[in-house]
Amino acid sequence: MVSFLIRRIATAIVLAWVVLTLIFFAIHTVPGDPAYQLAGGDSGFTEEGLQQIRESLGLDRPLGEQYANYLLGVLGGDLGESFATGQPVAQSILRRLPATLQLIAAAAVLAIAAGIPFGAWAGRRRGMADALMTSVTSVALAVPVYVVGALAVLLFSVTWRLLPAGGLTPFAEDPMGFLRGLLLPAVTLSLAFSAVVARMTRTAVIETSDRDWVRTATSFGLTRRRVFNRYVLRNSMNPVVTVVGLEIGSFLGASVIIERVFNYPGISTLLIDGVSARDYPVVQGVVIVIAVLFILINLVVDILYGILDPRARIR
Amino acid sequence: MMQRLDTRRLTRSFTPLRWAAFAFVVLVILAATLAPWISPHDPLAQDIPRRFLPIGSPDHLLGTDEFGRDLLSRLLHGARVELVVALGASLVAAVLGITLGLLGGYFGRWVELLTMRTVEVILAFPPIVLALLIVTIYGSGQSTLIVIMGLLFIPAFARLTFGQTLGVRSAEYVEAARAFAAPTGVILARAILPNVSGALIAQFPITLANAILLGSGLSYLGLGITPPTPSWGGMVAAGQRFMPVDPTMLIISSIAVTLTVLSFGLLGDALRDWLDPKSRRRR
Amino acid sequence: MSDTHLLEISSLSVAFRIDGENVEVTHGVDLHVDEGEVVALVGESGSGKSVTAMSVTDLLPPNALRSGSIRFAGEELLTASEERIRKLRGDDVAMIFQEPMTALNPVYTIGTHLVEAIRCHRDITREAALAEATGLLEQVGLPEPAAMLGRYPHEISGGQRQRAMIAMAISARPRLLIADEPTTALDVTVQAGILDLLLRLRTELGMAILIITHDMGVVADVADRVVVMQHGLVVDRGTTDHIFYDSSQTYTRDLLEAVPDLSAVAMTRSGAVAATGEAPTLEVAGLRIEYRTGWRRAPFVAVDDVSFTVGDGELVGLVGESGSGKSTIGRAVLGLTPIQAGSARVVGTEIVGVRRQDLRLMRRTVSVVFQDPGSSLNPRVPIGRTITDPLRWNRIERDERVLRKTAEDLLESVKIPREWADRYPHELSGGQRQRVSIARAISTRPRFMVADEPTSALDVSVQASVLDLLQELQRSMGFSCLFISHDLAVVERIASRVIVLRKGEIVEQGTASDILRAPREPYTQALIAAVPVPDPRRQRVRRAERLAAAGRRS
Repeated sequence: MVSFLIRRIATAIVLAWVVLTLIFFAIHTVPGDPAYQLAGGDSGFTEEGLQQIRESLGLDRPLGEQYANYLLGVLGGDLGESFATGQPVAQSILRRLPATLQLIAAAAVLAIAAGIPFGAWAGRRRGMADALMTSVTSVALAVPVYVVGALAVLLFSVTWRLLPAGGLTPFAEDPMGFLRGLLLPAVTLSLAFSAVVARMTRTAVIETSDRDWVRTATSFGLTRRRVFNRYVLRNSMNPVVTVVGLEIGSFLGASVIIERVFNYPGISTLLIDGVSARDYPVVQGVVIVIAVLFILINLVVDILYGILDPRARIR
Repeated sequence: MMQRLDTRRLTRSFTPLRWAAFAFVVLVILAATLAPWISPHDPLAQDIPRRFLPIGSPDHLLGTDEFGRDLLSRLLHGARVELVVALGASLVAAVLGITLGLLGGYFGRWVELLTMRTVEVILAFPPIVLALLIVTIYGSGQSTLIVIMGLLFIPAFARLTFGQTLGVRSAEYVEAARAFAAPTGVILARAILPNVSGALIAQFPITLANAILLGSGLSYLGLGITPPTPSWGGMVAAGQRFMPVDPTMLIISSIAVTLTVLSFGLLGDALRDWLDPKSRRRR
Repeated sequence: MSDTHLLEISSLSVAFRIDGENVEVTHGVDLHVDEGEVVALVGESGSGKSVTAMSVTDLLPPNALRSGSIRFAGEELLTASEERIRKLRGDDVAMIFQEPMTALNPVYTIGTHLVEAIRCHRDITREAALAEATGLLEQVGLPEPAAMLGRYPHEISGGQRQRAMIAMAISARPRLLIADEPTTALDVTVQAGILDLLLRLRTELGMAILIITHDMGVVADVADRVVVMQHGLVVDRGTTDHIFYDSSQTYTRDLLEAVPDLSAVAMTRSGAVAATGEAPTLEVAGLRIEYRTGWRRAPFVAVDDVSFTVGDGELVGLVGESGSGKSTIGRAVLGLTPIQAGSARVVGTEIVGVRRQDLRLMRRTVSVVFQDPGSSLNPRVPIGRTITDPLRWNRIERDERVLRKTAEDLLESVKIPREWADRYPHELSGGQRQRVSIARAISTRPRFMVADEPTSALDVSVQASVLDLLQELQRSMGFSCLFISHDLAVVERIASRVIVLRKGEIVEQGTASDILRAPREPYTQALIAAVPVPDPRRQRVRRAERLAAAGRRS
């Protein structure tokens, strides 16, 4: 078990390094001159002026040195300054990160709390229940996340005026307000994810029910409920965890869109504004944070899988 | 040397709902292909005095948007744009992904390391985030989108092909072929590919659906297909902005996207049930 | 003595509801088991024996429908409540199954399984259950029971898993144990141990056993009475002696005819072909094959310092249990697995370090028949084409019309109708598919053939005909053959020389009669002694001898 943990953590660290390197080289092989971009693409700047900008950004240094500075900076928490505002990127991100994390956590919890029971019920009952679940989840997966969000805003905020259309009051100020502000975005975000979880649970339950060890457990004389819980559902969690790991990418991507739909004060606004303005440090910073977050979540999922399935620890 | 088409499984895999989905897919493809000829208006032609017209207005079957542009025409052209991008991306992903998965699965060892590890690096990024990064650097536009999304969907095909190839490779008829001196190309083409193609063909519409989701998502953010080119994502974004004034814009574009994605997904399911013998489920 | 049988099945018919229709699988089955006796339920695949066994405690899938009567100790089970059946399971009627690997939940330890089984019908603490579990593991002969409790199923061997399963089954001291092919997936020496265990438990616990099997040797070894099934019907029944010696039923006689009998006194067959004086077609010297197991771990040695030859026109049997390396050698000799050390000359060509062109040339003269009829032929290609693929691939013949005629001729030579050339593999039975494999193998008129367990996956009755075919072809075409098998009886029947392998090393080699009648090595002796022969009287003697020898050794 311990060697399994060490191997996974080591892999995660290597992957993080690879990702950081790729991000660096992606940005630094930009066609065109970033200094020119920064200057607003304005031809009003002299070559001297451009050169000054380059120096201040360290763009005239050799690539290797830039890379080293970059890595050291990231490890030390320095993500550069925004082209647009001049503010330290790390600070801007840090201010908005908690909101994003709350959103993601809430949505994930909702998705799992709703998806697993729904899928298990469909897998166990089959027939009508199964058909119902399959159709509901098909639709949930087909509707683009921004459509769900936009329609939700239309319904709950504009038409019925139940919930706020956007923004978020801090928990300390107003707990109920906070929850109301979090509810709609979190539920919307959790929709597609819970559909995936439900489907995988249903498929896993159906397939596991056919397995020989279920028959063995039944032959012991265990109650149906016990057989289902301990020999079907428990084993079904393995593929569910796997599929959760595979879906995290889409999930994080969807959170970016949801934050935009609901005007939610998370890091995605930074990202999107940064992309429109070609504000490289900001974009780079947010991408790094999201990528590292992604790797961390995957690591947790991997370890969880190792706990669930003893055979996985060998590899 | 393909097996006879299994028509019995065909009728069993395609429920009425799935046939409807297939029909809808054909409809969308036709609409997208013929958009320039069947659109009643120029999708870019503005007519400010006549904006926010409701559905059923004379001369504007689905109404007009915030600039007075005909919604039906924009919807049709939007279909064309979304489909071109999604199709392009899916083709790129399929060709590259299948090749990587096939080679990695068949040859194993260092080839597997090279191909599948590369694929995993792609998977290390949340797709939208990577797309946004590339868009920042290279700008938006149809060809950039096709390349980015093509790259992002490689893992889906690569992993599927890899898994399927591994399964087939250990079958005895493949071993026998090697023992009987079949050239590697023949083995790949005749023994492996035909036996994995079912799952791959079924995957294509599913990847297409995902590509539409991703592409329109980027357009919604204003960073994929940029205005004034009509795109479904952009239309939903505009629809959301003007919801209090005219909710129909939002609803119409939402329905268009959802139904299209749903139909492609159902089509993929049907193809999988028909062509992929290993996905058989007991009733 | 009571008139009531412990288990009495009357007119049992089981049907499955498939796609809205009822498909009857067994028809009017009658059988009974009395206290403390061992009854064998025998049949080939599709006979309905497993279905019958599973219907006793209703372990069939949900779409199964049973009709008739199943009485246990006088109580009718088909009309009993679900709760009653549940109480019966494990406590009165226990079961063990064929595949120990999949019969146990991979995420729970052996200890967890055992405690679950023990506490199922009794209200005792976990600690008490664990103590009992340890005792049970000892009782089934597992070493280091305390450590075994913490192991996962994938960490122990097949034989150990089966013993653990038996421990779980007897934990509530059931009156009847139903064993569904309990040893089919195990090596023959391991099988002997499990059968010994079952008989011992029968005596210790006074437990009756209903054993389902297709192996007539096992039946002769352990059963008091036998029930024979075919196509869902009971076609014969009686005491073991009666079935083997006195039965007048056609099916029973045919079945017994087809079963290969090790060291049968009557040598009615004409014997296998010995080598001609020509140069040997296969010369293996000092062969060593390793598999890598990971970055820093030492490689696993599959084959170590193996040397033997196969003479021109000879059929040599390569025998071993699982893990012996026999299949590895077969594949290495075909150039499919890399060889680390030693040499292997196949029809004159040295394989180790061979150049690509030379390997291709060699492959024109060499062919192979594999084991699994399910995957030995490309499902997408009609058999008429698969048969002549080696000719195409080796560029021996290009003309499609000639190839078509050749394909049809080949089909005829393996006794399959010519018109079937356009059929696909899934339209043929297992035995027919293996014949097609053989036809493919002889299409190039090879000088040397590797046959890797070609009949192991087939029913006994089919096995005999395929073996006969192979032998006939070998004699008429004169190719030499390396016949790989785990089944000594089969090998004895067709091979002139036998090589015995164990854990990658040769234990003994010699002519078939030498090896089987006068084995020198203890392993070979134990191997031969462990094979149950389909002859109850001889088997009783063999059993006594084997146990005595084991007793002397320990």
